Amino acid sequence: MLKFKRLIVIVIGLLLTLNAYSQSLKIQYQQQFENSSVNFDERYDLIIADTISIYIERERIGEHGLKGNENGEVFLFNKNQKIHRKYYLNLKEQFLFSEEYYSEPLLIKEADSLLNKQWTYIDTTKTINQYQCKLATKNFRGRSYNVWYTTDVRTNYGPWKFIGLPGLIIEAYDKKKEFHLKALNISTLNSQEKAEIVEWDILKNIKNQKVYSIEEFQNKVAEHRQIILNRISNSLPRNVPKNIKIDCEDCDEGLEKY
Amino acid sequence: MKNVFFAIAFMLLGTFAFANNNEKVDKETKLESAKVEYITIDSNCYVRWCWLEGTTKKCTPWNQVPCDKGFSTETLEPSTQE
Repeated sequence: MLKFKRLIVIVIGLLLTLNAYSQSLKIQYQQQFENSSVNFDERYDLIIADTISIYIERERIGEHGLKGNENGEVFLFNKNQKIHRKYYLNLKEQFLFSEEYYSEPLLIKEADSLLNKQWTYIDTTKTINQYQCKLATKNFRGRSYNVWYTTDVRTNYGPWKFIGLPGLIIEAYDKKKEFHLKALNISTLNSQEKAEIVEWDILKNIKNQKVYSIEEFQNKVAEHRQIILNRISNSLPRNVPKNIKIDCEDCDEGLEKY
Repeated sequence: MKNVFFAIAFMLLGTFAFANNNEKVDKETKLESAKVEYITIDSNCYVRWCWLEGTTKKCTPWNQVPCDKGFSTETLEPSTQE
């Protein structure tokens, strides 16, 4: 009986120690992606709790999405858009992200090989707000990123698909300066806030959702694209050639090149 | 026996209602984020459709359309009927 009591005390002690070390943080980020074709300005929250993190879209700012061509008129022909919030879920054993393709939210498993790609550490520092930051770089899906992180806040989690650095990411941008991400606010979650995080429903729901691999996801997008092209083809005026293919010479690359 | 018939009738009605609702959602949602772009160059008129695939803009090639008949988005919108 005495041994059992000791065991209980040890277990409780261990749990308390673990709790003291686990940091629950909420970091608000501004994430922008703009080129001549598209404009995305979004607010995200990165929530780090124990052994998982979620980077979840909160708000879309201003004219979001497609830009019109400079000389022409643009008509949006479905204003009743549903907005599915994008999120990036780091579960340690796997990294999942949700994207909306043709209004269908898809859950995709990120390729381990890409996420495990090593960072290159550059011997330079700068102060962003009050944080002393170090620089790391990485090439990822067609872009070269500069990422400034601070070891004042120790975590391996990060915003978007930036993970595995030895500190919190304060600012990140690609070398073309089309993608830009910066931390706006950092706060600690108290236990009540942590319990109230509605987004943890996502964790329950993903068990019932199909998870696509990158290859399956690309096939799914191609399938949707064909539906769009067929519909457009069917509705073109009689004197317009019907065999349309995608050929957008004045459109830029997206954020990620799969 | 009556109860069995009622149960079957309700099940059929429920299935029909669900299937009908599903079809409606499918038709309404697939063309979101698409735009029609219209341009006039040297008195020639061209249109194309553009849409988003994630963060990438995709478009059809420019197609010449008659300028003299005017331009209406209604006539150019892809039909939502299959």
